[in-house]
Amino acid sequence: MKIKKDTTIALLLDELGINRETVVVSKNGSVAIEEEPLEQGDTVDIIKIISGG
Amino acid sequence: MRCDNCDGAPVYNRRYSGQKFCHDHFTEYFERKVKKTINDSGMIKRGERIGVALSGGKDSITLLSILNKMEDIELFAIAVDEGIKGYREKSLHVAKKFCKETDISLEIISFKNSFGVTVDETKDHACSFCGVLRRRLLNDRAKELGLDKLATGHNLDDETQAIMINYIRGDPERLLRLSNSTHSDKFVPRIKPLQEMPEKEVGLYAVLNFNIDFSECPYAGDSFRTGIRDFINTLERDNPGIKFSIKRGYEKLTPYLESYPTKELKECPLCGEPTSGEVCKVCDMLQSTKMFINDNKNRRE
Repeated sequence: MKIKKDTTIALLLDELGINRETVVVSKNGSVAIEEEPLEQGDTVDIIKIISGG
Repeated sequence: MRCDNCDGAPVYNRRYSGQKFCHDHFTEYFERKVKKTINDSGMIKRGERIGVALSGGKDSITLLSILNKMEDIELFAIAVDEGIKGYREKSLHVAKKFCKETDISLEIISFKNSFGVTVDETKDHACSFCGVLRRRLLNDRAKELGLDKLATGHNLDDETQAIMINYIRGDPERLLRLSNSTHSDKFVPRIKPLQEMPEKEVGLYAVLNFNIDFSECPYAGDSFRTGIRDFINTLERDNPGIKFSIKRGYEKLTPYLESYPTKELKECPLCGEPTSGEVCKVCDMLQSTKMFINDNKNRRE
């Protein structure tokens, strides 16, 4: 997907409607904090870590 | 951006304290805090035989791994196969692999063998059916093994969800039971060493240290708890630390709850286990589920 300029993982999660409390995110294969900046071409993996029941 | 303790890249920003941690310092912080929770509350004493309710998910694998680093305790992992097709097989595979690698004794008990029914065969209320029957099986096996305590992987989120659910339902007896296990020699005391760890931190610890399957139970979406979970997570996102605030508020309230009159326990006439009702919840649920299964079978024939 195309990302906006000066975006971060946190802003991307907001845009996708995903609560940061429920996921662990990695950028280019390494776990990163949500304040990490993103650039076009970065690979982002979002792992949903909450369980239910 | 750097870790607050070294030059490493941060993997966690603990927003409620403003600290950033790299992989190694997060792991160290996490394990130290769980051990502090255990030591401060005297949950586990030297030489005790501890059962660990192991599902193979992030919480129970994290719990078992940290307990396995403690000295002078004996560990027994107990896994329950509730009969949820396409879900439980994967986590049981993780549980078996983990116990084999760490040389921890593992026993798997199933709803089908013990009660003759699976969660997939229930009509409604899969979550409460599963929870009630799983607690019974774990307690029964822990008693048979003569264990001193039964440890479960409940984290801070589980605790705050249970507190809010019981506030909303106006159920002071259940609220009190969250901190005080029911006193009866028929119940093995339960401990929750991860109760001070937010689910996000448990998830991160598991991602960094294990190869875990994060699939969600297919019945989770149906539960009232899911709505409460999402509500609290929205509060936490906008007000970091609110989960601790909910738990601390509850702990301040607990002494007042202790004076609330509780129902006396008697023996269930069907199974002999303690109950505050006429029949215990396990027998009640099994009766209605088996009636439902038989009705369906008769209709098909």
